[in-house]
Amino acid sequence: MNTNYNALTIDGLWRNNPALVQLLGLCPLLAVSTTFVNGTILGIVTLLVLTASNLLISVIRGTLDQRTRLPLQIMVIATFVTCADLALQSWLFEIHQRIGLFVALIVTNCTVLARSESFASRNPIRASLVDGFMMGAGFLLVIVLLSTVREILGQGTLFHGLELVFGPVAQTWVIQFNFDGLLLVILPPGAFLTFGCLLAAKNWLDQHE
Amino acid sequence: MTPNDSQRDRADSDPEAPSIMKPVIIFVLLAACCGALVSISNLLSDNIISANQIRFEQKQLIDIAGDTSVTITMVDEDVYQLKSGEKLSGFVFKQQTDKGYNGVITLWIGVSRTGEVLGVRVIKHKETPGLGDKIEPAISDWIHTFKGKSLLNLADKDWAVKKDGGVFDQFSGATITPRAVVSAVNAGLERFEIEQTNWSRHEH
Repeated sequence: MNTNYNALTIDGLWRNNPALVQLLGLCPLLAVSTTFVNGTILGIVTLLVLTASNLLISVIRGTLDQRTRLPLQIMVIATFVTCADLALQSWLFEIHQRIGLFVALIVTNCTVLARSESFASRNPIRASLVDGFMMGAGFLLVIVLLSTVREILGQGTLFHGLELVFGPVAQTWVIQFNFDGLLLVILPPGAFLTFGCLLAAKNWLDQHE
Repeated sequence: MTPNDSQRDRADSDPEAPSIMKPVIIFVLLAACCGALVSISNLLSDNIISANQIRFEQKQLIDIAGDTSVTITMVDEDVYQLKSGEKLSGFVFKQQTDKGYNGVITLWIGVSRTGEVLGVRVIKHKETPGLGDKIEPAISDWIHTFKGKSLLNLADKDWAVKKDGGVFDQFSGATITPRAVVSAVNAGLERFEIEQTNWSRHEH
């Protein structure tokens, strides 16, 4: 079988983007996208979990049985999420203090189960790996974009809190804009509004291609 | 096909249906692998995480002391004396409550020698993000409302959230968490009254 990796890439990043088109995993997307750092870290962890679970599910896809398939996939995803959670607590403890619960909730991110159920369980290993990575990258792209916009408009800063990742040296990397920011953008309604604008922009681009 | 037919169909084809044994065995084997993976990760990260937790607690402790010139000395397990110069200015101690919405909430409570709250910091909790997590200073200023309160300047019945007739705000959508924290601080101050002489005696 000839797999079209380009199509998988375009699907994940744009045409079938998990957040912008499938509208999956919106809870963490909207809740965590308050600052660039929070959003980016959650996006990266989601990408890693998605890739790893797609890989393992694809490896064992020959043995999957109709009756045990779903709990088995959830178990695999939960395992990777737990490992990612422990890794985050070890290396980025303060980030974990802020977004920890949403890391654990990656288990329930429908994007992850959807990809393993609809793709990895019936496609070869390499294709599943690419699919998981590209879908994860699509999610990462959207959450980074959303949190960048929300941090700039809502807080008037960019890269605030980067020192929690890169150490004290990163404190100087903060970009301070000349306004205080609109509180609304940081609050949950602001997440919906900003995300709605992103959706509109994507649909507009698609129509004017 | 009526439901009866389909039921009979399934019963008839039973001997030919693939056995459930194989998938169950695979499930158990995979569960063992997953368990092993999680155990190994836990083993590798356990020490690092508890070291991180201790460092985080220390940072909160210094935050309550407020001033970097204040020296912090341990006098008992999870009890610290604050001294400006040679003068004893207050104490910080750990207080826990299990009355929260989800598991134990652990606090640092800073108290001056006269029994007023210097500051409260939540060092560990698993309350709901977006609702109960407003007890964190990074998310809301709520925890700072304890500052300056004491058992003397606030009557017993006022040590409660507004919904229960007290003076402390609850959060919209979450009453259990702030109620737990208020009662934990109250209990902490009562503990301080009993232990104060004990904790002061350790002065070097």
